[in-house]
Amino acid sequence: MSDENKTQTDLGFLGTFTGNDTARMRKYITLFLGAAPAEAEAIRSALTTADHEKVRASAHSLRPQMTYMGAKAGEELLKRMEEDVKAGKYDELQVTGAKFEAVFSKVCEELQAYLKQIS
Amino acid sequence: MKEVNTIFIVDDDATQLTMVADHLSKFKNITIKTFSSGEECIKNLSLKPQVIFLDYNFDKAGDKAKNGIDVLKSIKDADPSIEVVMLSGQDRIEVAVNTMKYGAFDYIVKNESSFHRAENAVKNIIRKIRLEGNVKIYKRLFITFAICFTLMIAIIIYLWANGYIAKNPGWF
Repeated sequence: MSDENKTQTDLGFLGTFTGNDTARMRKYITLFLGAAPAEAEAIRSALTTADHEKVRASAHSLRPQMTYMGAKAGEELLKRMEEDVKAGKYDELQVTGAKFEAVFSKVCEELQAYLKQIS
Repeated sequence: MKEVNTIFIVDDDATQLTMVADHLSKFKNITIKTFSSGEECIKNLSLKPQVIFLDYNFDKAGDKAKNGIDVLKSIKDADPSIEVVMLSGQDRIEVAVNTMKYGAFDYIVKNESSFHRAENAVKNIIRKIRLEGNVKIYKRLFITFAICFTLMIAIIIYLWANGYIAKNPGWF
Protein backbone atom coordinates (compact mmCIF):
# COMPACT_ATOMS: atom_id res chain seq x y z
CA MET A 1 0.00 0.00 0.00
CA SER A 2 1.44 3.42 -0.91
CA ASP A 3 1.90 6.02 1.85
CA GLU A 4 -0.95 8.16 0.52
CA ASN A 5 -3.48 5.31 0.86
CA LYS A 6 -2.76 4.57 4.52
CA THR A 7 -4.70 6.22 7.33
CA GLN A 8 -2.85 9.50 7.76
CA THR A 9 -4.12 10.75 11.10
CA ASP A 10 -4.05 9.44 14.63
CA LEU A 11 -6.08 11.54 17.04
CA GLY A 12 -4.55 9.82 20.08
CA PHE A 13 -2.57 12.89 21.15
CA LEU A 14 -5.53 15.23 20.69
CA GLY A 15 -7.70 12.80 22.68
CA THR A 16 -5.19 12.77 25.55
CA PHE A 17 -4.70 16.53 25.39
CA THR A 18 -8.43 17.25 25.61
CA GLY A 19 -9.31 14.37 27.95
CA ASN A 20 -11.39 12.96 25.06
CA ASP A 21 -13.58 16.06 25.15
CA THR A 22 -15.11 15.97 21.65
CA ALA A 23 -16.11 19.66 21.76
CA ARG A 24 -12.49 20.67 22.32
CA MET A 25 -11.27 18.19 19.73
CA ARG A 26 -13.74 19.68 17.24
CA LYS A 27 -12.46 23.17 18.09
CA TYR A 28 -8.79 22.30 17.37
CA ILE A 29 -9.56 20.27 14.24
CA THR A 30 -11.72 23.12 12.92
CA LEU A 31 -8.88 25.57 13.59
CA PHE A 32 -6.50 23.26 11.73
CA LEU A 33 -8.87 22.86 8.77
CA GLY A 34 -9.34 26.63 8.70
CA ALA A 35 -5.64 27.51 8.62
CA ALA A 36 -3.66 24.57 7.24
CA PRO A 37 -5.07 24.49 3.66
CA ALA A 38 -3.81 28.06 3.13
CA GLU A 39 -0.36 26.94 4.35
CA ALA A 40 -0.44 23.94 2.02
CA GLU A 41 -1.49 26.23 -0.83
CA ALA A 42 1.43 28.56 0.02
CA ILE A 43 3.79 25.56 -0.26
CA ARG A 44 2.23 24.50 -3.57
CA SER A 45 2.51 27.97 -5.10
CA ALA A 46 6.08 28.50 -3.76
CA LEU A 47 7.07 25.17 -5.34
CA THR A 48 5.63 26.35 -8.66
CA THR A 49 7.55 29.64 -8.55
CA ALA A 50 10.67 27.94 -7.11
CA ASP A 51 10.55 30.25 -4.09
CA HIS A 52 12.49 27.77 -1.98
CA GLU A 53 12.79 29.93 1.13
CA LYS A 54 9.00 30.35 1.15
CA VAL A 55 8.61 26.56 0.82
CA ARG A 56 10.92 26.06 3.80
CA ALA A 57 9.19 28.71 5.94
CA SER A 58 5.67 27.41 5.17
CA ALA A 59 6.68 23.78 5.73
CA HIS A 60 8.28 24.76 9.02
CA SER A 61 5.18 26.64 10.10
CA LEU A 62 2.76 23.84 9.20
CA ARG A 63 4.78 21.02 10.81
CA PRO A 64 3.66 21.40 14.48
CA GLN A 65 -0.01 21.49 13.44
CA MET A 66 0.44 18.23 11.55
CA THR A 67 2.06 16.77 14.67
CA TYR A 68 -0.96 17.64 16.83
CA MET A 69 -3.32 16.00 14.30
CA GLY A 70 -1.20 12.84 14.48
CA ALA A 71 -0.29 13.17 10.78
CA LYS A 72 3.11 11.53 11.17
CA ALA A 73 3.80 10.92 7.45
CA GLY A 74 2.81 14.50 6.58
CA GLU A 75 5.04 15.83 9.35
CA GLU A 76 7.98 13.74 8.08
CA LEU A 77 7.45 15.00 4.52
CA LEU A 78 7.43 18.62 5.71
CA LYS A 79 10.64 18.01 7.64
CA ARG A 80 12.18 16.45 4.53
CA MET A 81 11.12 19.49 2.48
CA GLU A 82 12.87 21.80 4.96
CA GLU A 83 15.99 19.63 4.74
CA ASP A 84 15.82 19.50 0.93
CA VAL A 85 15.80 23.30 0.78
CA LYS A 86 18.69 23.57 3.22
CA ALA A 87 20.69 21.01 1.21
CA GLY A 88 19.74 22.63 -2.13
CA LYS A 89 18.12 19.39 -3.35
CA TYR A 90 15.49 21.17 -5.41
CA ASP A 91 14.60 18.21 -7.68
CA GLU A 92 13.90 16.03 -4.63
CA LEU A 93 11.96 18.93 -3.13
CA GLN A 94 9.47 18.81 -6.01
CA VAL A 95 8.97 15.04 -5.52
CA THR A 96 8.56 15.46 -1.74
CA GLY A 97 6.17 18.35 -2.37
CA ALA A 98 3.96 16.21 -4.63
CA LYS A 99 3.90 13.40 -2.05
CA PHE A 100 3.01 15.90 0.66
CA GLU A 101 0.12 17.28 -1.36
CA ALA A 102 -1.44 13.82 -1.67
CA VAL A 103 -0.92 13.07 2.03
CA PHE A 104 -2.26 16.47 3.08
CA SER A 105 -5.49 16.09 1.14
CA LYS A 106 -5.98 12.66 2.79
CA VAL A 107 -5.35 14.24 6.22
CA CYS A 108 -8.03 16.89 5.58
CA GLU A 109 -10.49 14.25 4.31
CA GLU A 110 -9.99 12.11 7.41
CA LEU A 111 -10.39 15.06 9.77
CA GLN A 112 -13.55 16.20 8.01
CA ALA A 113 -14.91 12.67 8.25
CA TYR A 114 -14.12 12.65 11.97
CA LEU A 115 -15.94 15.98 12.45
CA LYS A 116 -18.99 14.53 10.71
CA GLN A 117 -18.81 11.44 12.87
CA ILE A 118 -18.84 13.41 16.15
CA SER A 119 -21.43 15.98 15.11
CA MET B 1 5.43 40.59 46.62
CA LYS B 2 5.28 40.34 42.81
CA GLU B 3 3.17 37.40 41.56
CA VAL B 4 2.30 35.96 38.16
CA ASN B 5 -1.18 37.23 37.26
CA THR B 6 -0.97 37.96 33.53
CA ILE B 7 0.51 35.80 30.79
CA PHE B 8 0.77 36.73 27.10
CA ILE B 9 0.91 34.07 24.39
CA VAL B 10 2.15 35.35 21.03
CA ASP B 11 1.97 33.10 17.96
CA ASP B 12 0.79 33.54 14.37
CA ASP B 13 -0.44 29.92 14.30
CA ALA B 14 -4.04 29.95 15.58
CA THR B 15 -4.05 26.23 16.49
CA GLN B 16 -0.86 26.50 18.57
CA LEU B 17 -2.02 29.76 20.16
CA THR B 18 -5.39 28.33 21.22
CA MET B 19 -3.99 25.02 22.46
CA VAL B 20 -1.31 26.68 24.64
CA ALA B 21 -3.85 29.20 25.98
CA ASP B 22 -6.36 26.45 26.80
CA HIS B 23 -3.69 24.34 28.50
CA LEU B 24 -2.46 27.25 30.65
CA SER B 25 -6.02 28.22 31.63
CA LYS B 26 -5.66 25.59 34.39
CA PHE B 27 -3.81 28.30 36.39
CA LYS B 28 -6.97 29.75 37.91
CA ASN B 29 -5.71 33.15 39.11
CA ILE B 30 -3.82 34.01 35.95
CA THR B 31 -5.27 36.02 33.05
CA ILE B 32 -4.18 34.75 29.63
CA LYS B 33 -4.02 37.21 26.69
CA THR B 34 -3.29 36.01 23.16
CA PHE B 35 -1.77 37.93 20.25
CA SER B 36 -1.00 36.87 16.70
CA SER B 37 1.97 39.20 16.15
CA GLY B 38 4.93 40.60 18.06
CA GLU B 39 3.83 44.17 17.31
CA GLU B 40 0.44 43.58 18.99
CA CYS B 41 2.22 42.11 22.02
CA ILE B 42 4.56 45.12 22.34
CA LYS B 43 1.59 47.53 22.04
CA ASN B 44 -0.06 45.78 25.01
CA LEU B 45 2.94 45.66 27.38
CA SER B 46 1.15 48.34 29.46
CA LEU B 47 -1.03 45.44 30.73
CA LYS B 48 2.10 44.40 32.67
CA PRO B 49 2.44 40.69 31.89
CA GLN B 50 4.93 38.78 34.05
CA VAL B 51 5.39 35.96 31.50
CA ILE B 52 5.29 35.96 27.70
CA PHE B 53 5.28 32.84 25.51
CA LEU B 54 6.71 34.05 22.24
CA ASP B 55 6.89 32.36 18.83
CA TYR B 56 10.34 32.39 17.20
CA ASN B 57 9.04 32.81 13.61
CA PHE B 58 6.25 35.12 12.46
CA ASP B 59 6.21 34.11 8.81
CA LYS B 60 2.41 34.30 8.55
CA ALA B 61 2.23 37.78 10.09
CA GLY B 62 3.69 39.31 6.89
CA ASP B 63 7.12 40.10 5.48
CA LYS B 64 7.47 43.27 7.55
CA ALA B 65 6.56 41.52 10.81
CA LYS B 66 9.25 41.54 13.50
CA ASN B 67 10.81 38.13 14.15
CA GLY B 68 10.84 36.53 17.58
CA ILE B 69 14.33 37.71 18.52
CA ASP B 70 13.49 41.34 17.66
CA VAL B 71 10.30 41.12 19.73
CA LEU B 72 12.27 39.53 22.61
CA LYS B 73 14.76 42.44 22.52
CA SER B 74 11.92 45.01 22.53
CA ILE B 75 10.23 43.30 25.49
CA LYS B 76 13.47 43.16 27.49
CA ASP B 77 14.20 46.84 26.65
CA ALA B 78 10.72 47.81 27.88
CA ASP B 79 10.83 45.70 31.06
CA PRO B 80 13.74 43.35 31.84
CA SER B 81 11.76 41.65 34.62
CA ILE B 82 9.27 40.08 32.15
CA GLU B 83 10.15 36.40 31.69
CA VAL B 84 10.01 35.35 28.04
CA VAL B 85 9.64 31.71 27.01
CA MET B 86 10.40 31.11 23.33
CA LEU B 87 8.29 28.65 21.30
CA SER B 88 9.71 27.25 18.08
CA GLY B 89 9.56 24.39 15.64
CA GLN B 90 13.37 24.56 15.50
CA ASP B 91 15.09 21.87 17.52
CA ARG B 92 18.57 23.21 16.73
CA ILE B 93 20.57 23.91 19.88
CA GLU B 94 22.18 27.08 18.43
CA VAL B 95 18.72 28.66 18.00
CA ALA B 96 17.92 27.94 21.64
CA VAL B 97 21.30 29.29 22.80
CA ASN B 98 20.76 32.45 20.76
CA THR B 99 17.41 33.17 22.44
CA MET B 100 18.95 32.60 25.89
CA LYS B 101 21.70 35.08 24.98
CA TYR B 102 19.02 37.75 24.58
CA GLY B 103 17.48 36.94 27.95
CA ALA B 104 14.85 34.26 27.26
CA PHE B 105 13.93 32.25 30.38
CA ASP B 106 13.35 29.00 28.48
CA TYR B 107 13.05 27.58 24.97
CA ILE B 108 10.31 25.12 24.04
CA VAL B 109 10.21 23.09 20.83
CA LYS B 110 6.68 22.83 19.39
CA ASN B 111 5.71 19.18 19.66
CA GLU B 112 3.37 16.99 21.74
CA SER B 113 5.29 17.71 24.95
CA SER B 114 5.38 21.49 24.47
CA PHE B 115 2.14 22.05 26.44
CA HIS B 116 3.43 20.18 29.48
CA ARG B 117 6.74 22.05 29.20
CA ALA B 118 4.89 25.39 28.99
CA GLU B 119 3.03 24.52 32.19
CA ASN B 120 6.33 23.63 33.91
CA ALA B 121 7.89 26.88 32.71
CA VAL B 122 5.07 28.85 34.38
CA LYS B 123 5.53 26.86 37.62
CA ASN B 124 9.30 27.50 37.52
CA ILE B 125 8.78 31.22 36.94
CA ILE B 126 6.30 31.41 39.85
CA ARG B 127 8.89 29.62 42.03
CA LYS B 128 11.68 31.96 40.85
CA ILE B 129 9.62 35.11 41.54
CA ARG B 130 8.74 33.82 45.05
CA LEU B 131 12.39 33.00 45.75
CA GLU B 132 13.48 36.45 44.58
CA GLY B 133 10.81 37.95 46.87
CA ASN B 134 12.11 35.90 49.82
CA VAL B 135 15.71 36.90 49.10
CA LYS B 136 14.63 40.57 49.15
CA ILE B 137 12.89 40.09 52.53
CA TYR B 138 15.94 38.33 54.05
CA LYS B 139 18.23 41.03 52.65
CA ARG B 140 16.10 43.74 54.28
CA LEU B 141 16.03 41.81 57.58
CA PHE B 142 19.81 41.37 57.50
CA ILE B 143 20.41 45.07 56.81
CA THR B 144 18.02 46.07 59.63
CA PHE B 145 19.78 43.67 62.01
CA ALA B 146 23.23 44.94 60.95
CA ILE B 147 22.19 48.58 61.53
CA CYS B 148 20.71 47.77 64.97
CA PHE B 149 23.82 45.83 65.98
CA THR B 150 26.15 48.61 64.82
CA LEU B 151 24.07 51.22 66.70
CA MET B 152 24.13 49.09 69.85
CA ILE B 153 27.91 48.74 69.69
CA ALA B 154 28.26 52.49 69.06
CA ILE B 155 26.07 53.27 72.09
CA ILE B 156 28.06 50.88 74.31
CA ILE B 157 31.35 52.44 73.17
CA TYR B 158 29.93 55.94 73.77
CA LEU B 159 28.71 55.02 77.25
CA TRP B 160 31.97 53.29 78.08
CA ALA B 161 34.12 56.16 76.78
CA ASN B 162 32.13 58.72 78.77
CA GLY B 163 32.25 56.73 81.97
CA TYR B 164 28.57 55.85 82.11
CA ILE B 165 29.50 52.25 82.46
CA ALA B 166 32.40 50.97 84.50
CA LYS B 167 35.71 50.28 82.74
CA ASN B 168 35.55 46.80 84.26
CA PRO B 169 31.92 46.00 85.03
CA GLY B 170 32.98 42.63 86.39
CA TRP B 171 31.28 40.69 83.68
CA PHE B 172 34.32 38.50 83.13
